[in-house]
Amino acid sequence: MPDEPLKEPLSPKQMKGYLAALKEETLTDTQTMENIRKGVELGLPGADSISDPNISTFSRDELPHYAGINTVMKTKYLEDVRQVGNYDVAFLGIPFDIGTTYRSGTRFGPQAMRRISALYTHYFYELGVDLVESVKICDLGDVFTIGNIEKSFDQVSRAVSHVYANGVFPMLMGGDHSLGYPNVRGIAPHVDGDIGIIHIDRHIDTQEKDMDERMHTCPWFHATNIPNAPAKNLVQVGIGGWQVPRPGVKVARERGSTIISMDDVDDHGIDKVAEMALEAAWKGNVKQVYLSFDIDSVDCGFVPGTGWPEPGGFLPREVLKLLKLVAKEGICAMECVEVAPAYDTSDITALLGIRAMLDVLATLVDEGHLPRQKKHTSDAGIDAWKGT
Amino acid sequence: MTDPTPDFRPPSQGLDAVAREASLPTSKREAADSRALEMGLPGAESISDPNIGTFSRGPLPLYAGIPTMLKLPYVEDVRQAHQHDVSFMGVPFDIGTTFRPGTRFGPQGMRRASVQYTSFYSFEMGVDLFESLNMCDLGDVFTIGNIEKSFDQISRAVGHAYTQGTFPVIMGGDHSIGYPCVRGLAPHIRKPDGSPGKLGIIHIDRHLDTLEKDMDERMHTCPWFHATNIPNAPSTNLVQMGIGGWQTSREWVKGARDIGTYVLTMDDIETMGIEKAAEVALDIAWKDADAVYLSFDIDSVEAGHVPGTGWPQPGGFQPREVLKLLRLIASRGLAAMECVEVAPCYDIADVTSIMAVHATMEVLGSLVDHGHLPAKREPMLDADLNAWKGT
Repeated sequence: MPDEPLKEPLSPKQMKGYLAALKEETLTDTQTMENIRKGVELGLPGADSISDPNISTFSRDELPHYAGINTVMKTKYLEDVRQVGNYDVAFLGIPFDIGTTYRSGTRFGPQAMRRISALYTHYFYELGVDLVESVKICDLGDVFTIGNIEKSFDQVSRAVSHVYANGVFPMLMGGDHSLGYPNVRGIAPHVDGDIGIIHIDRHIDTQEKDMDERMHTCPWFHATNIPNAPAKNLVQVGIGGWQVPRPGVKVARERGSTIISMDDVDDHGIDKVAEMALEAAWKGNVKQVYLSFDIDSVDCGFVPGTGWPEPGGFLPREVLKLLKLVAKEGICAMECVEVAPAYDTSDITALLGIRAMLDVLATLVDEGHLPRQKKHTSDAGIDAWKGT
Repeated sequence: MTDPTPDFRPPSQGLDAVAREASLPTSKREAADSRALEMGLPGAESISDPNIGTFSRGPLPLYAGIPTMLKLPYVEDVRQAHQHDVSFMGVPFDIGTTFRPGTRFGPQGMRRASVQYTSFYSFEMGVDLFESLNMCDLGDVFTIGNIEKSFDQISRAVGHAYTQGTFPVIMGGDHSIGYPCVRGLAPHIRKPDGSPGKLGIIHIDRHLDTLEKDMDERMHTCPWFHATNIPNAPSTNLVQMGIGGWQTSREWVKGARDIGTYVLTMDDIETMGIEKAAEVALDIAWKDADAVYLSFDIDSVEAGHVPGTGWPQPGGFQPREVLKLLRLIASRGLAAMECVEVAPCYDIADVTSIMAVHATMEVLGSLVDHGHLPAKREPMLDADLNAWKGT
């Protein structure tokens, strides 16, 4: 065996790990310290035996992670939704599972994501982003969903519209995937131009109806009927396997959406696939792109807590990379759907769901998309989606 | 055959309860509904019920919303607790456990399960807690990875909740917190004339929990040894109910013998019946006492009903028995209560958390039913929250 020429050893200082450690030094900690100060004021100073003066008697901030009220990341619960305009990002739960066609239970998706979000700090190491220092985030609680798909859709469009028209970035926690339609419908009237959709899923979800209703197999048929959400700007990534219904495939063919299968992802790699997806989604008169992340796009070994688990999907590192690449170009909102905690093990499915949302948020901050320099507020009204 | 007694109606609690509901007010709920609609915007046009908002801001839908206890307001500023009659507070703590840990998630489990109780209405008692009381969730105590430091935090927090004039409902946490909870409360117990008063303790459990130390620390096997060392919480006023089985260490028993508590085994209670047992317990606990503290360990219930706990044991109370016992004990009034040892990670479908919430609701219902809540106790806003120090 010929001797390999000696390579220059990689310097530890070239490592992303080291660079991220350097970046941390440039981050502020003013808001963090303010939150701690406020925690000690509202929760009373700690007992005399506690030496750390930042520890209060009642837990009011991030610590202890197992204490406190489970809003998303223990951020502020904004009871009065009319005040949402004071924030940059609003998490909103949509507890809904009437659109499920197999295992139900996504009505508890928001609850599980809130619960396990307590595990995360607000600082993301690799990107060197501290969310608390960069953006004002609130938890708006949940939409009042109804035991009727169409009525729930109306409630959802109205709620999403309210957030978006106030210039706030919506982070939508499902709920089953039927919500893709009312979510896009709520945003579309407030976009001046077309809206593209990047849909990450194992399933095509383009049927007109399923068992006579607009179930979670149907969102993109109806979303791409919205005049400024054309099918040519719908990109579906990760599709494949034995759970793709043929009626949906027929619709996808007729409408000409872009479909990238899991095999395509394997062949071309995440970077290339992200590039293709972004190109198709942003083509033409598109002014905003909506990101729909179905947790079942991930290999079912990682996400037991979902309604239609399917082997052969993304591995967690792959999908997190894809999401970050999509978010780099900017998006108008994100949904994370199909988390069904009743089938989950140790909350790992909810953990990946919330992790995906946090990675997207950190990327948006890192790339300067959030906080928005100028808020895209809209006067169209929160019922402007009616008739679409 | 003709009906022999057409006018006869057998005495029926159910029928009485149906009639009694008519006398309950609805005004607070209506005010809350209208506020919810304001905060969460009116619903979409396709919804015919005008009480449904776009965003969920009240109990409905049960599966929606932020999981505070019973979806009550979260009082972030604990200095405002005095505006409420009852304050729920969590003590997420399991460092005192000697077998299965996990009670740090007890408060979370109880909060999650509590949404099923947001009608606030007990059919049998004819009590509507929402209409009768102003209740809040104070969130959790900041516990520390050190038993003694956590005890200090807990005593301070419980003392705060009590001196705000509210009725503290403490959600554990393992049973070691019995001691710091009583310690936080004791300095503020008063006789009617305002002079220092005496506190009795009713402890419902399968285990005696009267060791001085266990594995060198004040673990969840030790609260009553230390609580009854507090001068105004004497062991002569400690009643322990439901004790027995194969998990009672001999050292415990020696502790109980030395300090002279009153012990009722599960067999005693079965023999004398729940009503008699409650009467005996109340007489002992209240003897020359000015207030009584209730400590309810979820593992006092038969293990089959409460898998989500650290020391499950067969042969304990059946749910109906313990619920009745709790109602009877609360009928004479209480200073505060704790519900401890819920460990959700061993639970099945949250049944243990549900049992714990239900037990708590029964106590509150009985306190309201017997006129003990809302309490007439004035807040002591300038009270010393470190008054327990040295006890």
